[in-house]
Amino acid sequence: MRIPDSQFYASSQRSIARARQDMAAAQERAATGLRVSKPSDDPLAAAQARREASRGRKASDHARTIDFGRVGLRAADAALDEVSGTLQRARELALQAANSTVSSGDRGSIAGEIDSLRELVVSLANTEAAGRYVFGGYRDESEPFDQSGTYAGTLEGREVEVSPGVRMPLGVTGERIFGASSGQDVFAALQNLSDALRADDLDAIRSSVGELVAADEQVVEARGELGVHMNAFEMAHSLSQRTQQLTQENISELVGADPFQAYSDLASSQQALQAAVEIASQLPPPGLLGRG
Amino acid sequence: MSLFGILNTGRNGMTAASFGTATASHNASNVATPGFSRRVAHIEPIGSHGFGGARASGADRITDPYLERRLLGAHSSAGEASARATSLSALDDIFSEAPGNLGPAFDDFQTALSDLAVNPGDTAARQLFLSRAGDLSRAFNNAAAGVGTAIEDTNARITSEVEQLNAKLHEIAKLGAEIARAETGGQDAGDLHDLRDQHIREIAQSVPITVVSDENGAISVLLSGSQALVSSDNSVHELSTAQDPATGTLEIYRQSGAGSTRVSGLITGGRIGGYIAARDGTLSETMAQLDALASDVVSAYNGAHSAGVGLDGGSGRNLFTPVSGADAARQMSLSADVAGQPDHVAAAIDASSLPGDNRGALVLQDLAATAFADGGTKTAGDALGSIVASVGVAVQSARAHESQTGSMVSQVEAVRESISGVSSDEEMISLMKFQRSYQASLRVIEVADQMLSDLLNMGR
Repeated sequence: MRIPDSQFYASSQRSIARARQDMAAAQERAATGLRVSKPSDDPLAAAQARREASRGRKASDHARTIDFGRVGLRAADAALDEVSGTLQRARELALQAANSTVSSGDRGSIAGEIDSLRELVVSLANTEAAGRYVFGGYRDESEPFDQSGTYAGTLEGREVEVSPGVRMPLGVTGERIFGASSGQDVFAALQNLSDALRADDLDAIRSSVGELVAADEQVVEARGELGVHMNAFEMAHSLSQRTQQLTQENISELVGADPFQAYSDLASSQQALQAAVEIASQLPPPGLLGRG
Repeated sequence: MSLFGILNTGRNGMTAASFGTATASHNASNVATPGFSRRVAHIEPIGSHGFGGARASGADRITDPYLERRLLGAHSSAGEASARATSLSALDDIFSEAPGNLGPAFDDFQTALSDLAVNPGDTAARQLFLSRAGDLSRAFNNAAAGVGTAIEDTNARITSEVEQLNAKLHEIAKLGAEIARAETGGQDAGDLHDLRDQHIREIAQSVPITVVSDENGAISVLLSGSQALVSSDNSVHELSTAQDPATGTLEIYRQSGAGSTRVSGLITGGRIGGYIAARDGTLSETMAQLDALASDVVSAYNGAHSAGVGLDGGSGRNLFTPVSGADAARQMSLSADVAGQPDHVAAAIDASSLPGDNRGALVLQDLAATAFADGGTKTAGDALGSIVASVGVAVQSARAHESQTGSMVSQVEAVRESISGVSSDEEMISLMKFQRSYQASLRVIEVADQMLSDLLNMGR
């Protein structure tokens, strides 16, 4: 085959162009750490990475939701713990006052203490965390209980998504813990005790002890429910963290460049370009015209 | 043979050697001329009545017509692939994971929705949600504008390709006439042939053509093998572009007689063919997919949002301005029902459970996992994923095709050059050879002259 002069220049030009292209691509992979930065780099991987990115983002949304929800759940749990203790203190006082040796004057002062315990329970029922009243249900922007213990919140409460397709309540609504609809009105139990004490009515004092026991059971049951929710939140939280980690790994596997590969590609493409340039610098080829 | 005859032989030899030198010089000077075909001086003995020396009867142009045909085909394929790759390359950036593009905008929207479900009464969460919904609309707007710009650019490229093509057609016709005139007058028209072939190769990059020559050597250039662009009588049928009044698509017409006929469908190769394929294929399909996804998103989210209740107790409000059909993606926007009014975001479904009721937000949040797109077969995320995949495949295959056809052109070009290209070494040798031949003829004249003068001096 005849080799015309143009052949030397054309092939040199082609190999330099190709080497430059390869080097630019290798440089980008090494600099960005990405093997796939545009859909055309690897269409299937890009589409899968898109889905993984959404999945990972959803998991991190869930983690945010869970973090927020846990604040309310913990506040509610702590409040109910205190309510439980308060009710026990009230029961002790009631048992003490039920003794016939106690003077009516002492019963009056015990009644005063019961009144303040009742005020404490009302304020605990109005516990606020992260800007919301945790026992208010949907109506969580204002105190769910007034001083008389009347509930202004809703019977149902907010649920949030904590895992794909899984919703959990953000708490237990106040009416179910403190209200008569669950069996025993907690505030009424304390009020009845206070009234019985002031009336020196020993029978009524004794029967209010039963009411306080029922009230405490109600509170303990609600705490148990909160505990179940908190467990579910914890599980959802670790699931979300695993998902985030997994999607991150999947994405870097799908679109990430292996750093070692990237740098060795860069080095070999540099060598290829250097060789192509070296060869071009030998042009024109030796010939009758001399080396100009 | 007389001594004067020998003088004449010497003179003929010098003329032939000069011609050979001129040919080699011409070749040597055109070593870098694209499309140049080397010449070989055709030198033959003059021997009809005894010895007459040598004569140059002309220069042969070294070409291979079969290769030229293959080269035209290769140029058309390469032009098609490179035009397709150019047109589609914009899509790559539109559907990348860069912030503000559709994928990330969808994710941001979902995050804002999740925050809203947690804090439905919080004005900041509502404002953020509205701003993310606006960002999502803008991501659709930008993607559609990007694809639209790619289509407009492609049309502009088609128009300018057609203009350049027409200019070349006239050039080819003009050269055809000049070649006919020169060859009838017995002149060498090799350079004109080279120039014409070069123009033909250039238009083969724009449109698929075949070249047919008749018995007189006149050529016609046929578009897609059937429609004459340059006829053998060197008349030109220009191409023109015009919008189809019914579809609004820029179509290509061929002028014939008084009227013109549409030929867009015939142009399946060359850059123009590539632009048409990209525009009517991937670009239009992507635009249609974007529009379909935008109108599905708008109607799904509007349906859920209008069933919900705002912080002010109102309901029946859209989240996005209703759009549908073509241009849905370009026109998508936040509805005036909610824009700038965070209280109107319908995060609740029961006006008596405000402000903490988040059931409206939960319904909206669930839409991400609902297959409402693509005729109820895909989630919005999956629909976007398949757009990303199909765009990626189209761009990738156009690029692969571009480099493959590019090396095909280089290969055929190399073979053509190996036949027709100039080798400076060969030409240097030719120059030396003809220089020698010239010197020899000069010597013949010297000797004959010496003999003549010897003869004239004989009687002294």
